[in-house]
This record gives sequence, C-alpha cells and structure tokens, in this order.
Amino acid sequence: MGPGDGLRRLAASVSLPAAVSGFGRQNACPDFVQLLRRRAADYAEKTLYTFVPGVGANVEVSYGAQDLRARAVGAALAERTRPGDRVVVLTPPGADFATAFFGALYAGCVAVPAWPPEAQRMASTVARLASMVEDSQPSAVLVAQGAEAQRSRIAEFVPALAGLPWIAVGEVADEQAAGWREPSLGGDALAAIQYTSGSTASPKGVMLTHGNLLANCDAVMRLFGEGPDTRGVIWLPPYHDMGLIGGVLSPVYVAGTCALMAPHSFLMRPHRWLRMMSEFGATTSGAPGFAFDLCVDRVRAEQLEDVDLSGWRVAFCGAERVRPATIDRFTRAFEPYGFDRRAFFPCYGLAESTLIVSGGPMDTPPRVRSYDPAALDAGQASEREGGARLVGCGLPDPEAVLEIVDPAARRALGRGQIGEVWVTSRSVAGGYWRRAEETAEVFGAQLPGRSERFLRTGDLGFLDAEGELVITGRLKELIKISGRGHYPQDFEATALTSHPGVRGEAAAFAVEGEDGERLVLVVRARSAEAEAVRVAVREAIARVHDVGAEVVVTGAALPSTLSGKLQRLQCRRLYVEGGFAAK
Amino acid sequence: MAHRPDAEADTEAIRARLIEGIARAVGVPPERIDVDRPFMELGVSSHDATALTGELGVWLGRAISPLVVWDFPTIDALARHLGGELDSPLDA
Repeated sequence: MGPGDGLRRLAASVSLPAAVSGFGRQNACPDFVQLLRRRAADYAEKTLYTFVPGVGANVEVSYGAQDLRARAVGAALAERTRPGDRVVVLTPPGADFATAFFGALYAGCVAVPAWPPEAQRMASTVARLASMVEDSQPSAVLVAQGAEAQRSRIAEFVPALAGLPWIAVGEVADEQAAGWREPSLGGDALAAIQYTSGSTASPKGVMLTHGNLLANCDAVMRLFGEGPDTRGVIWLPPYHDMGLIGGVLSPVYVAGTCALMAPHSFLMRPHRWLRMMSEFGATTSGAPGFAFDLCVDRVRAEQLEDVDLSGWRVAFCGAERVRPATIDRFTRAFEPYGFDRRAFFPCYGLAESTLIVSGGPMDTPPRVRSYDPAALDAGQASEREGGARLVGCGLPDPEAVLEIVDPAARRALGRGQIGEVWVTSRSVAGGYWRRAEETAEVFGAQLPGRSERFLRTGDLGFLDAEGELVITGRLKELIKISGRGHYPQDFEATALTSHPGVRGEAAAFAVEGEDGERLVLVVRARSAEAEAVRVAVREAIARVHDVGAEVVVTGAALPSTLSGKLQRLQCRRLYVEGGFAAK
Repeated sequence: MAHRPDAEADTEAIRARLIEGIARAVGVPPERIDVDRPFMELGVSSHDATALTGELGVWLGRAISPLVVWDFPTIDALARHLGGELDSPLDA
C-alpha cells in the first residue's frame, strides 16, 4: 500500500477537486479498460449509470456491476474474435449499449457503434449500417436480445453480417466473467471507430484510440470542472461523439454518476429532461441548440411543478452554432425554476477531435457580441453595435494547440481575423479508417516552419481579444440539421433518382432560418412535372435521410463551372435572393 | 372497440391539430397540406413525427406510441385512428 492508495481511498469518500484527487496525469491509466477496472475497484457500490426507460422502473448500474458485465461480454466476445477486430455495437440506447461498448473494449476489440435499423424503416436505416459494415469489415455483432432473430432480420439486408457471430449481451451470463483475461492494450490501441463524418456513399470512420478517449475525457473534466460529485443527465444518442463521450465515457473518467434516457423519450416529452435534472439533482447536462428551443416551445408550467434547476451548473450547448436567441429564450423561460444564465456553456468540437475542442469558462454567462457583417464577410471580426450577434464557443483547451489559418495561403492568422480552425492535441484522432488520402489531407496539415501536424476542422472562426474562439461558418460543405451532419452530395444523389422527371441536376444547401439551419434542394425538371417532382423529392429525402427539405423546382440549368461542376454556393445565393421564386 | 359518440368531433380537432403541427414542421402553409398524402411525401422526418406524437399525447392526455405514424401514415388515417374511428391499420 503506497501513498497513491490512501489518496484514492480519500477521494472515494470525499469530494475533492480533480487535481488533488489524482485524476488525470498523476494516476493516469493507459487505456479505458484499466480505467473502468480501477474505478470498479475504488467505487464498486457507487451508481455509475441510472437508465430511465420510457415505461417502467429506473435501472441502476454500479461501477462494480458494469465491470462485471463488461468482463462477461468481453470473455464471450474474445472466444469468437481476435484483438483489434472491429465489432458492431448494434444495441439501442441504454444499459445494453454501455455493456456492449465496454464488452468490445474488454475483448481488445474496436467498437463500431451504429443505430440499430428500425423495423418500420428498414430499407433506409439499413443503408447506413451497410455502408459502415463494408468500410470497417467487422468480425462480430453485439445486440441487446435475441441474437438469432436479429441476425436473420438484418442480415437479409446486409449479407456481409450473415456469417458473423451475433451475441446478445443481455443473454450473456455473469459467470462468463470468470473466463475473462485482460487484453494488452495501451494508449495507441484503437478503441472505437466513429462514423459521424462522411456520407453513406463515402463513409469516413474516425479512428479513436484509448489515448484519444482518455485525453478528451480529461479535457472535458478540466473545462467542465468535473469530479466524483458530478451528476449528469444525458439523452443524446450514444452512437455520436457528444452522447458517447458525455453520457458513457466521461462519467467513468471522473468517477461521477449519470442518468441516461433515450433520445426519443426526450423528443416525445421534452419536459422529462428538465424533470430529470431536478429529480437527480444533476449538475451537468447539454445538447445541441434545437433541444433548448424545443423546451421553450413545448414545455408547459403544469409539467414543471416542483422542478428546481438551481443545481444545473454546466448547460453545455454544441454540435451546431449556438444562437443568441436560444440562450435568451431558454434563460427567460426557466429562470423562474432556478436556472442560471451563467450555466450556459457553449462549446465547440468535432468527432475528428474525439469531441471537445473549446468551452467555458465555467460559471460565466456566455459571451454574445455584435460584429460588423460586412467586415465578417471580408474576413475580419470588428465589433459594432447592432451588427451580427455571435456567441463565443469558449476558451480552447489549454492542452491543445489551436491556430486560425488562411486555408488558401496556409498562413497562421492573428486575433480577430477569420480563418479555418486548425487544432492539434492528444484528442485529435489518428485519421479516418483505411482512407490514406483523406487522412493526409485532413489530419496531416502543416504550417511553414512548424513540425506539428494539424487537424483541419473545416470550420471557420476567429479568436477574439480575450482568446475565446468564435465560430462564424463552415468551409466544408457539411449541413447540420438538429445537430446531425449530412453531406449535400448524398441529398443530391437521392433527389436525382427520385423521379424520372428530374433532369439530371440537383443542388442541396442549408439556409439559416429562425430555428437554425434548414435544408433546401433545388432540382431541375420541366414545369409540367414540377409538382410531382417536388413531392417525390421531398418524400425520398424524408425516407432515405430522415430530414425534412424544402424543394424548389426550376426549369433552368443550375449554376455550374465551365467544366460542368455544380456550384452550390451560387445556387444558394440565387435562392436567398429569390431567383427561384415559385410560379 | 365501441364507437365513441363524440368520435367525429375528436377526429376533426385532431386532424386540424395534425395539419397545423405538420405545416409548422415542414415550413408549408396549412392550406397546402394534403391530408391523404403519406407523411414522408409531406417531408416529415422521424424527428418531427416523434415530436408531434409526443405533443398530441400531451394534448389528448394519453400515451401515444410514435410508431402509430407508420401504421396510420396519413393525417386523415391517423386522425381517424386517434379519434376512435379506426381500430386497425387495415381499416385505413
């Protein structure tokens, strides 16, 4: 027994600031398996997760219990796989997801989380899964229950999965844990592949090592001021960075506790989120901006009886640009219930950097400033009253190196100048799975005279006088709807095959609306078929991509270059200026 | 399942509510919403559908599964189902 053990025991019984309790560097674990094992040893009886189902009683899982389930599933999986194999985690949000994810890691495998295809929308929801399977070449599939039934149902649409072992984590006995052997991992071992980037046609799996996950959990801990007394509430999908890091991994890292609810439970009844914050005495919770707006629009006073939000210290908001109106309206609506504007914590991040790049500082209201729009267009951030209001995304993690770069000249810019955000840190992933070219282009950027390799985020922004990052736009053609990313090419491909009347041209782009970004598709067709085409494209987009779109039909050729390349920005400009006005 | 006497009135109110909610979600004026078109043809995503059924459930004071939009996939069919006129998707 050494000094470290005494400190750990003290930390387990008393709430200490993170630096003193020894989390992070001093007590560093090289991989997430060893981290969960250590947490289970020190906090065996402490509740790690509380799963709140739509119907029925809450399910509490202690650190000890989660480790036991991970060992059982890990042992079962290790019988059928080899270290480094990819394993599809195809469980619904909840207890089975966490067990499957950790089970994959405990087997020394690489977790590939994926939305389970929906029975009612099998054809369209399965396309994304098929694309991920083709790209990652998994060796096994983890589901919650009924392995055989699920395999026959899904493998019909994704034949590559038919011959693989399918394991239902809910059906693995605890006794199997006895056969578990700790895998030899370390920080550089791959832990997961995140498919949030990229399109269905061209999937891009972000390779996350154990080191990446630990480093970003560490960043979250420092920026969000977390520790063993942190109580989180998360309803975000665990298949994407915010839900995975925020809801599943970060609580383990800080030895906190987190209540989890499925995304559709929130969407159905947004007041559940606020009630959970109050009932669990939660300190930390967040979501993309649309969720805060949804609460303002739909939650009623009678649903908030006895709700007390005064314990909410960090209301993080990210995944899409935070709008000043969202902050103002949410604060106004819920201040009477104890919500404090200083809790608002706009942040910026992306899957390519595991999750968080900047955020905070804590306990300060979000910084909203007004800038001259013409200067912004010209690449300068110059404050001016009555101009365009922009919300700051917080201070970059001090452990990271962040530069604002002129993307064409590859030259670092100064404060107040707008350029592409480049970042390098231990959270930045090694690259995209088996995509050498894109990896070199996106993850291997260099500045003259400097040896670091930077991640090119594809987002535009500037650092203000105080060093706070402000995101102003996007260089990459990603479209974000309700916090989810989509590529225009995917929408266009769907539109082009949706109706025989579509004359070979379609352009997809996002337009800033009152409620955030909304999708517009301009499609070329003869005016006689305009209505039929409009309906067909709208239906196809909803069916394949599950997004609503405004569809505009035009008889004219769409703007393109001399060599025939579609110019989306031109289309967008024409649309905004009313150039495609409906007849 | 017995026919409730005020089922028609409920159906009318539910239909109007659905039209208004969907018009808002897809950004189209209510008068242009076709009550016999499948939701997907109106451009309703599952996010919108989930949110809408949640709202409807609160308004009607009972739990409605978001899966009903698949079994009764038009405004008219869904309104008639929730109003008690249609018991099974086969009637739609």
